[in-house]
Amino acid sequence: MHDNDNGTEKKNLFHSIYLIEIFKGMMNTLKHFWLVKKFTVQYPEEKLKAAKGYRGEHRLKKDDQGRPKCVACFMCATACPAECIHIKAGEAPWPDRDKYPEEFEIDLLRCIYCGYCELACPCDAIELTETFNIVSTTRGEKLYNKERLLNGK
Amino acid sequence: MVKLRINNKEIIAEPGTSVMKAALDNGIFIPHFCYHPALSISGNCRICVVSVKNMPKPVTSCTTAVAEGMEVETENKDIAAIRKSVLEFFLINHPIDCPVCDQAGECTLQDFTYLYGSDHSRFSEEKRTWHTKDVGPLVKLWANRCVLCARCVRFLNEITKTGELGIMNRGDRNVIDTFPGMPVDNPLSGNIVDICPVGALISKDFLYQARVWFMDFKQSVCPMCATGCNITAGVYQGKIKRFAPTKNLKVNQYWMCDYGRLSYKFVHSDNRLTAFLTRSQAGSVTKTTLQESVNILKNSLSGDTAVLASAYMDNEGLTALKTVTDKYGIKNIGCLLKPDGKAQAFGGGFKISHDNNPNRKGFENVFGKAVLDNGYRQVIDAVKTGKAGTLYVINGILDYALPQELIDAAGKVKFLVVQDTHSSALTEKAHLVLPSCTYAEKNGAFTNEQGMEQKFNRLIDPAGAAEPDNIILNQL
Repeated sequence: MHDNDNGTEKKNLFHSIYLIEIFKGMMNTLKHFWLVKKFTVQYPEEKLKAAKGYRGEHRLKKDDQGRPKCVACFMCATACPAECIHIKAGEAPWPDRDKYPEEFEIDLLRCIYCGYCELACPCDAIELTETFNIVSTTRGEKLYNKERLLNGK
Repeated sequence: MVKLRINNKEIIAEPGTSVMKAALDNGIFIPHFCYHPALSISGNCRICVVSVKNMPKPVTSCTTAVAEGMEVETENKDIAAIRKSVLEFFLINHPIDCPVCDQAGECTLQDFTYLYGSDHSRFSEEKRTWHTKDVGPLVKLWANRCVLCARCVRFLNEITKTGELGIMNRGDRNVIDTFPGMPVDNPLSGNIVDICPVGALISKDFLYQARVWFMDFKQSVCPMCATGCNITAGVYQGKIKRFAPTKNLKVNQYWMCDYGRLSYKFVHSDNRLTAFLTRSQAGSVTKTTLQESVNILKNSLSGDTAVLASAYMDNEGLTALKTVTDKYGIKNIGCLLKPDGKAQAFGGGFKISHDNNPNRKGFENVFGKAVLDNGYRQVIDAVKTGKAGTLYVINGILDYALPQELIDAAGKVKFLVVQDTHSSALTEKAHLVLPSCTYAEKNGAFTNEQGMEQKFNRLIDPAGAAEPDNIILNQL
C-alpha cells in the first residue's frame, strides 16, 4: 500500500467495507452500555450532596431565642475581598446586647465564595452552607437581605 | 534651656517641661493614657514609664521634669515588661468588646496592647461590671470600658469649669459617674469623647454610624462662628459622619463646640437646593442648566441691580462677586449677617465667638467696612422704593431663617435671583434659583475673626447640580 495525495492510507476492499471496525465499535458501545459504571447524574431529578466544607450560599445563624447572632461588628465586611457585604448597624432592642444589624445585605453577584467572612466572624454568626443550586432570573434576587439570610427563603 | 538625650537623640527643652512633652514635641512617642497636653498632669496610668540613667527605678515621663544631661531611654526590655504588666491590670476588668465598640480602630488601649500586651489573660475570676448610661445629650458612658485616666474629669474641671463628671467610690470600685441630676450638657461636652483614650465615652450622634477604618478623614474649617475651628471630618460612603477638632494652638487649641460638631447635619438636610430653576410670571417652575441660568442672569444684571451677599461666602466667592459688581457698575451691595450670639470663653483660652458668621472679616477685606455695616439697609431701601429692578441674593447661611423684612421687600422687585444652599421663603418667590455648594462641597477659605485666612477642603460631592459660588460668578 502507498499513501495517496491527501495523506490518508489507501485500504483494500476488506478494510474498506469497515465490517471489523463497525463490529469493534459496537462492542465498545455495548460494553459501556451494560458493563461500565455510570457517572452521569440526572441533575434536576437527582442531586448529589456537596462535599463537606463546600462553600455555597450564605446564611446568618440565630441564637436560642431566635435573634440573629450577628452583632454588626463589620469584621466580615472588613475581611471581604469582594466588598459584597453591606451592613447598617443599630442599637439592639434587647437589654443584653449593645449592637445588632439593622440591615445586612450580601451581593452574591460580587461574592467570590472565599469564606473569609466565616473565618473573620467572632460570634460564629455567618456561615457558607452547602447549598449550591443558587439560580435566579434577575439580578435583584441575588441581593440577599437580612430576612433571606436568616430564614433561608 | 536644658539639654538632654532621649533615645540618644539630643533634645533642647525649656526648664520645667516634662520628659513626655519634650519627647512628643521632638517626634519621639511615649505611650500614654492620662497625659494630655492641654490638661493638668495626673500621672495615674503608669504606662509612660521610661528609664533614666542613674535613677534607681523607672519613672513616669509625664511627671518627671527635664534636667541638664539627663539620659532617657523610652524603649527597652525592662520598660516593655512593665508596660505589659500595667496593661494586664487594665485588661483585668476591661470587657474587650472591641467588635461592638465604636472606638475600635482608634483606641489607644488596643494599640498599646498590640505593641506591649500579653496575648492571653491570666485572670480567671469574674470581671466587675458597671453601668452603661447616657451622661448628657451627646455622650454615652460605658463604665466597664473605662481605664480611669480621668482626662474627662480634668477637662470638665479645667476647661469648661463645670465639673459634671467625677470618680466615685474607692479602690477597685472606682468608677466615672455624674452627680445626680447633673448631666454633662455644657457647650463643649463632645470633646470628652475625643479625649477619652478608650471607648468609655462615646458620641451618641456617631454611635454605630461607621467603623473608623472605613472612613476617609479630611481637613476642613467649621463655619458656624467666627472662631473658625479646624476640624477633621470623617466621611463614609459620601456622607459626613462626624466632625472632630484638629489641633491648632492659635485658633481652637484641641477643642470645638457641640454646635459646630453637629453642624454637618445642615449639609445633609432634606431641603437642599439641587437644581437650577426658573419661575415664570405665572408661577410655573422649570428646571434649567447652569449655562442657561448664567445667560438669563447676564441679561438681567445692570447698574440698578441690588446685590445682597452673605458673610457665609468664602473668599473666592466674594472676590468673584467683587469682579462682577465692578464689571456691571453695581452700587447697591449689602451683606446678610447671621445675628450675633453669646460669646463664651473657656479655660485654656478656647472661645466661642459672638459672631456667628465665619467670614465677616473676609467680606470686610473685599468690600470694605462701609458696605458691611450699611450695605444691607441701603439695599433694602433701594428695593422698597423701587430703585432696584433686579435683586440678586447670594445667601448660603446655614441654620438661619431670613428676615421677614427682606422676604417682604423681595416681592416688590421685577426680577429676583436667589443663589442659596437651602430652599427658603425667598427661593419660593425667586424668578431664578441657583443652587450653591456649602462649605463641605467645595474648596475655599474663610478669614476668621483674628484675620487668619484658613483653607477648607471639599469633603463630599455637591448635592445635585449645586455649584460653588465662584464658579457661577466667574461666568457672569
